[in-house]
Amino acid sequence: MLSQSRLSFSHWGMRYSYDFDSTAVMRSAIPRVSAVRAATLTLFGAALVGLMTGCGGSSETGGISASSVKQAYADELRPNVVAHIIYGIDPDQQPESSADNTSVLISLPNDRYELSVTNTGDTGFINEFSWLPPGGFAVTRIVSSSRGQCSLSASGTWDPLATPSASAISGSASREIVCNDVALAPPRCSCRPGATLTVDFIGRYTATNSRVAVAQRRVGADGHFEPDVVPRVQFGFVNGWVEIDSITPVPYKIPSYLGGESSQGDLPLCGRDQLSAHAKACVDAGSGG
Amino acid sequence: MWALRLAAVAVTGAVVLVGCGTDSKVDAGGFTAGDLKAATVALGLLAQTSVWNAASEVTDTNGNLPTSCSFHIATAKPLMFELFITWAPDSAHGAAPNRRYAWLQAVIGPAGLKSGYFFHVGYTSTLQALASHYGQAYERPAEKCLIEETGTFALVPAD
Repeated sequence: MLSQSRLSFSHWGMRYSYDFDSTAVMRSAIPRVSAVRAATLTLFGAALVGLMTGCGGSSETGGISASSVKQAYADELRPNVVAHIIYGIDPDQQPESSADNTSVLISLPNDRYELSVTNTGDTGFINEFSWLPPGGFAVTRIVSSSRGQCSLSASGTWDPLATPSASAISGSASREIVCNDVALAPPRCSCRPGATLTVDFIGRYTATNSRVAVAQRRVGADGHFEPDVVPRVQFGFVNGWVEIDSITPVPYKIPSYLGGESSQGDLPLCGRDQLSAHAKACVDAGSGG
Repeated sequence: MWALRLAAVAVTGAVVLVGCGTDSKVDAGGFTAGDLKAATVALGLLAQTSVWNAASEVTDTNGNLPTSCSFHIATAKPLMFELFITWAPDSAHGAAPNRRYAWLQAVIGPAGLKSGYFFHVGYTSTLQALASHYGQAYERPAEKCLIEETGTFALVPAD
């Protein structure tokens, strides 16, 4: 059967994972005929066991005992205890993150900018995301996007470089770039980048070059933003970020090493409203590929 | 060889999913013993996908445990299961700042990973928007589940 082991650790707030495929060694060591026979026996044996033990109600708990429940709680995935961000503390103590994407903002002539977002995660297709502009940056118009539909949000977020007061929050909305239906494919290996989307837009940036950076943080039940004043020097674009809104996980593991790709990674993307079928298998990208 | 092994897993899962779920005695969550067996197989299949990776990453980046994990029988015939997990940006209990409500939905049926499955991870800023995605995820029959650090999911029936 498929055999996957996983080693995870975190460093500097990033989580690293390595998948080991123990069957890869077996594949090269066992002759083909024996392998076919072994797989066939495995198939029938497992199916027989499944039918014999899984049906008929011989166990009132369906094979789940009090001790196995206790063990399940003992093995529950628990996130590391982290400290809220206080500038100057060890990054290992700060909240963890995963490398789902990278983004690059390029300044072009005539107030034009190009935002590139690349899927670098080991989860699946990024279908929707929002880009929150850096403080002092006002996006005025989307020119084009390489895939999907990108538009400016209706209400906008708070501009963190405005005066940090309650009235300024409502009066200094900076509209986000919202991209839908992008189906950004994940990498075949988390050691490589996946698909990239570019958005060209018109914007206006007012550089502050101050000695106090004003970040923003999302708080409250309604997810509103509050200012977060940080005593550090700020020059250029600071504190813009991508928020992923929707992901479609893939039906296989994305390995962290080359050569470990699942054969399912070679399947074509399903079309819009198409589901994978026995006769025509495909991978659901969540938004029509 | 790889394809054969994969087929073995998929067909075994399909056989168990198709062949079970006919017992009449139910537990507190509304599952029969056969349902529990089939559910365990289905969760095993999901653990071989990036659904577990997604659950793990949202848990770690949000910084706290899921607020709920439900494994629900979506339809009895064919036997379709729905895994539904939610997270909240509860900073009082460890959530990091700038985190949002999140949900993970995974539907899997008799064909296993061959066809008829549906996976989705979503984020939203408000509890009200999150609740709009619940659907029937918490309706009986449904059992509580856990994300395991061993790369799997576990069912923890009420009794």
